[in-house]
Amino acid sequence: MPEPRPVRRGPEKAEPVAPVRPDAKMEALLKEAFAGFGAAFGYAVDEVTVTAPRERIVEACRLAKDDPRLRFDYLRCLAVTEYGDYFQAAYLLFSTALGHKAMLKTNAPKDDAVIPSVMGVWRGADWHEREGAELFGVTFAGHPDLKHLLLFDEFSGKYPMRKDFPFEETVDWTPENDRPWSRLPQEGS
Amino acid sequence: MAGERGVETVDMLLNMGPQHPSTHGVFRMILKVDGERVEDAEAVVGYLHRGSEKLCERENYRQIITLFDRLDYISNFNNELVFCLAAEKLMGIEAPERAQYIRTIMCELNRISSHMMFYGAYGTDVGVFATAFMYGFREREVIQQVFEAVSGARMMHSYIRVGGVAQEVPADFVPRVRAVLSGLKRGIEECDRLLTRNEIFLGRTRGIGVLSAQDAIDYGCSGPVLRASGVPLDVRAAEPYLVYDRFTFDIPLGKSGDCWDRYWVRMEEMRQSISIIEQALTQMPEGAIQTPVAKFGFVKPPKGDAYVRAENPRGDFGVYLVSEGKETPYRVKIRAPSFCNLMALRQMVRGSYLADAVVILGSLDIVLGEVDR
Amino acid sequence: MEIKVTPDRLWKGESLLHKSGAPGVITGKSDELIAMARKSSLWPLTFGLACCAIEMISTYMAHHDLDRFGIVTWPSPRQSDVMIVAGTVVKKMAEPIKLLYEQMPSPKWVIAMGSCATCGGPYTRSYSVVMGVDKIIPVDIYVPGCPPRPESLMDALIKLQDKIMREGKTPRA
Repeated sequence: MPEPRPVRRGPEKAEPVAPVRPDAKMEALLKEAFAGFGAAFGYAVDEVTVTAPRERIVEACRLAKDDPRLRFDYLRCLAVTEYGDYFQAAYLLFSTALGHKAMLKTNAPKDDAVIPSVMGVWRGADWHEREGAELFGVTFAGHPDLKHLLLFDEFSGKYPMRKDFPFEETVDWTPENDRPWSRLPQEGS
Repeated sequence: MAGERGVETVDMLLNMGPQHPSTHGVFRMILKVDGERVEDAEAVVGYLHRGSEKLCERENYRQIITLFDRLDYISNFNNELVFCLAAEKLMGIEAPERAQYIRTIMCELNRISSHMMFYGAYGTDVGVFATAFMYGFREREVIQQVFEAVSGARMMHSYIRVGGVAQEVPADFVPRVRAVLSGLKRGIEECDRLLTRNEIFLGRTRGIGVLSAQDAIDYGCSGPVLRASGVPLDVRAAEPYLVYDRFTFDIPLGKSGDCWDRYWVRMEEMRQSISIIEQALTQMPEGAIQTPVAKFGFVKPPKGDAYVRAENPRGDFGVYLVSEGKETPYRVKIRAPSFCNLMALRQMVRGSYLADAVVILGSLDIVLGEVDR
Repeated sequence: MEIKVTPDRLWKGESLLHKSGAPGVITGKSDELIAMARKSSLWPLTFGLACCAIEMISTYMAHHDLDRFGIVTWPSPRQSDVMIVAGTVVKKMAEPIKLLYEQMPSPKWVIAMGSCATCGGPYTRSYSVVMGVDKIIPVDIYVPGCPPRPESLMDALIKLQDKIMREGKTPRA
């Protein structure tokens, strides 16, 4: 077997990053409101992001909803994303009264993928959390009914949106091969 | 349990769907009924879950536009637009002005054609069996012919691209759209006369399926469902995208949040869309329709995440796009308005009559393609 | 067996039926006449899965008008003859589709409308999509397109009518 040749690298180039359109007013407001949370602040282009520790995410969400300066009463979206060794839940918030927006984020490590449910804060989180649970395998602790929403029981234990789930699902349905998806590749294999 | 006259009654579970003519696709409802009253309802979705979000991670930015076409398959232009806006936002580019106007016109035409589809389906739900469908589709067909002339396809257009639109509009575009609009105005009036003040229609929809403003916000409802409850939230006005800040238009609001209000809001929105298109046709400048990105199709947004939302016919359609600086996106999360509106169904159906459950579901105007994705 | 029918109007354009001497009377084999009756009143199941359903509805509506072929939709599988599978078949929906097909009385025909129902279309190799409805039920006519134009669907239905006539003409094994 031939020795692997060393790969020639060019000079290190700075990775391009999406442009940021700062929103100083909102940033100051959020920094003030979430001062005691140990939160990190950042930007998703024009939205200020607040990354709160997951133990305090329900508290943070309730504050975001009830604080008279923020009044985020409208949960636009709850997006779960898988990064290297953790899952991230992004709560996209909007205030119907004040007309401003922000993004709350929280991370959960892969070996302990549990995020507290925010259904008590916004009822609209219900299906978003069920979807995140079945597609990524993140357990939203405290959700009353975390059963399958889009998929069905044959997918239990298999999380198709995870990066290690193969794109090319080759098992097909034929009359002889009824219910072939029960033989989908197991998680981690 | 004992009924009011001491008669023993037993709750019955009633299954509706996934094949049912009034579920607007493959939607299933499990209703717990006590006689004619619905006590509880459970929505079962996922019969059209095609794994679009996963496929988005496999395909490059140009191919994904075709997947977005097929999400909410009644308002294709609007879906394409949101994805392209998300990629443009990450790349920090903007489409040329003429392209923005073309996009606006196509999206508003699509809104009318989508509401016409709603009109037909809703008429069928309340009992005007095929008549309303005939009226709605008569108008829709004319709009689809314009779509075909512009994009080459009746439904799946792939016309809006990252950084512009695919091609220049035909030479007779402006007079043709004007002619279509004058026909539409007449058509909407006719549709209005058929249903809006119809005694039976009012009887079936007035005071049925009331959703309070507080609940609508809490469930994350959007679009006509939210505005029928009296919340003046329209993304076109609240966070203007494209060139919507250059037009004057009204946001029709409902008073009581019942099924009739949701219907009426959509009828009024069609009139507002016509006014927006007329303004856009007058203002539309000459010029380029593509930035170089769209011309060469080289789309590779830098690292970062962005959330873009726009006002679809069904409501607030959002895309959360995460890019790692590759040809394919890292994560695409689609926030579908029907998905969120459908969550409020349980609240609305509880306590209504069984026959009204169909009317309430129809008034939400769901498209299963975007609910299940 | 030869039987005689007296139709209201003389049936035109049917080469396999031969006119008897009497005006307004056509004679034919019973299989052919039954096939003629079947093809002239096809009742498709009202059943849309996805995007193609919209074009299917367009075809039923006034602009394209399927009524002139004797085709009227019917919401119950128990009385319908044709199933137009209009849209993507996902694994969760596969079993209901199979059930619907089994509920339809024979003779029954299936049209796979659009590339999703034919082979998976743009959703090829997605984790939750069945690669074509022919994996679960037998298909008579495939319609290409994504979605097919109403004219394509009309063409498919005319082809199906031809097929039904051909079936009537061919002696049963």
